[in-house]
Amino acid sequence: MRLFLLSLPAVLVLGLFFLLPLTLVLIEGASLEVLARLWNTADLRAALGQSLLLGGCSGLLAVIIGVPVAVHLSRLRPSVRAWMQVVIALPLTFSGLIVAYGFILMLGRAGFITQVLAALGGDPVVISGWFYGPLGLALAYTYFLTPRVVLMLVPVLLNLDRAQLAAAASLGAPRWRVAVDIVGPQLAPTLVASFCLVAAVALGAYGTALALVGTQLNILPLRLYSLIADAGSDFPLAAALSLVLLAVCSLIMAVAEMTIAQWEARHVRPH
Amino acid sequence: MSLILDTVSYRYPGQTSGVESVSLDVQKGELCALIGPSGCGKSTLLKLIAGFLNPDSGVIQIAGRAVQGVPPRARNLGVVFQSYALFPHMTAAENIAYPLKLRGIPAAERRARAEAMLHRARLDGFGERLPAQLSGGQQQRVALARALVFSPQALLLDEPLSALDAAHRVALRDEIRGLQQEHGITTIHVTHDQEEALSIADRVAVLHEGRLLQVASPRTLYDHPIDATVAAFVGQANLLPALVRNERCVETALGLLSCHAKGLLPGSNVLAFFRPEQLLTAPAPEFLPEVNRFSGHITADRFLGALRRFDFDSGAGRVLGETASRAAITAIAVPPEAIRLFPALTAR
Repeated sequence: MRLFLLSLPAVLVLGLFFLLPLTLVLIEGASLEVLARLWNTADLRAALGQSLLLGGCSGLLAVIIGVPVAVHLSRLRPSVRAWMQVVIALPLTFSGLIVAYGFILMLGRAGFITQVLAALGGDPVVISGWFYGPLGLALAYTYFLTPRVVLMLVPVLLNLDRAQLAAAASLGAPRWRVAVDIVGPQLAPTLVASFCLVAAVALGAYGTALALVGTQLNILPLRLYSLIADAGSDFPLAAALSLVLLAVCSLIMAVAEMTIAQWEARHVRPH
Repeated sequence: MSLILDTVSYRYPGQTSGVESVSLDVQKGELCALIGPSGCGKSTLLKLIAGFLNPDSGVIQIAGRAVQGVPPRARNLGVVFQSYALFPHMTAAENIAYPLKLRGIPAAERRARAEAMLHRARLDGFGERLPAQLSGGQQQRVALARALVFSPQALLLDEPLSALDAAHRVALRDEIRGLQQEHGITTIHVTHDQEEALSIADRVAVLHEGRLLQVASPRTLYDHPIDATVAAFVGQANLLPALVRNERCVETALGLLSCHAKGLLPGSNVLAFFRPEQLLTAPAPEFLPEVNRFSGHITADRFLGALRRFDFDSGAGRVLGETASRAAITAIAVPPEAIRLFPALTAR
């Protein structure tokens, strides 16, 4: 009973701010009529496609950048690594708006890098043009997605059995073969899982996108915002869109969880 | 293929541990066991031979070729690790075939050779299993098969049996010896288990605090240890602090002991060494020779099956004894020829 009382605040918060809104969204959006309307709206289907593309690309970019960073961190002394991880995790504490503002200061029309390139003869409009589109958004997303990838990979790299690497070398494997044959396959499930996680985060990210591109870009979170905030708000369609976003993100996360679970079931000895 | 270490030294950066001026010559087809207490440098020596560490000084020769600067992958040595170090994502057969794959051997031949090794390691039918689906003993046999399949120049075993239970250890050490002899491969076997070393090695090297104290056949090492440290580490030993009285007698806590003390200065401090099984025991003093005979009682009696290991207290001093007899013991005698004297200074 005491334990239940202790968990009561958490249960209340969960009920009020998760279960209740979710139920309301379900009631509002989970009807065949609304879902059919959503499916028949071509630009909403396109928004789903573009969101998946943006999430996939920025997720992939974050993994590509994150892997060498994680490998480097795993080789550092524990004390240095701890400090480096604090620094690397800093972007996770920033809100999307702050991230967007930082990028505008760097790459916007009056941004520092844009101005330097303009001084070298570039056109600020052209230079910053790409930044206020999908590419710039992917770059900004990568900024706060990469730390997530790094923080997921470092423990796995630290737990790699060094004797396996030594064994491979003694059996005749050059470094690249050790990386491809031994490290790669053991890292793969976490790579897939981290990609899924950051892709799902990117799929639902909203603040950075709104600050950088307004509602010009056709992606799910911004369409959702438009459906709620604009004068012609359409709550049933917004609810259906929320459900689609929720379902897609949940599906991606399920893939991540299943990848890890399957790998562990096959390769980790039960204790 | 011989393996020669010539005055090899190595110190871990910022530490005092390592190995110092170790010279060792392991002949073709020989199994040499490296033993010593934890931290004595035996695994370090193995890492130096395998190429995972580079010596600060000295030369390591494999098959007559100095291997300074040669990376581990180019040394062509089979290494078996304490943790097995099997690749968890590869099946037993894939693990064994991996070194063949690295050497560009076609898939069909790889499979055939891996199957043959599985058969020799008594692992028929286990080839498709992942390491997590194998027992500790089976994993170690896969590791051994993997280290042998590419016909390496030498085999390095780093405490390969220490993670196994006692019954498997005994069975597997005989298998290791069998496979080693079958392949005729020069082998260095690092272990902290002296019984394991004495039972399978052609020669045993004793390391202590980074220095090689003695290299000898198991029997020589046991019967004629070079100093008190070796005597204490290999087998059970009585090492009694003693004072030389004359060339036929030393004084110990137990009492006066007749022994061969020729060449030692009267009054010098020594250690009187004899093995527990060399004690003569009897239910009454009159059954024993008078020389070095002591009456007393047993203070601890350990039943070890075929043997009894006991602590005998004469009232003045205590010794460790072993006997197959189960009779009462109230007297012991130490044959003078069983006693060896080590200078106390050499005791570490």
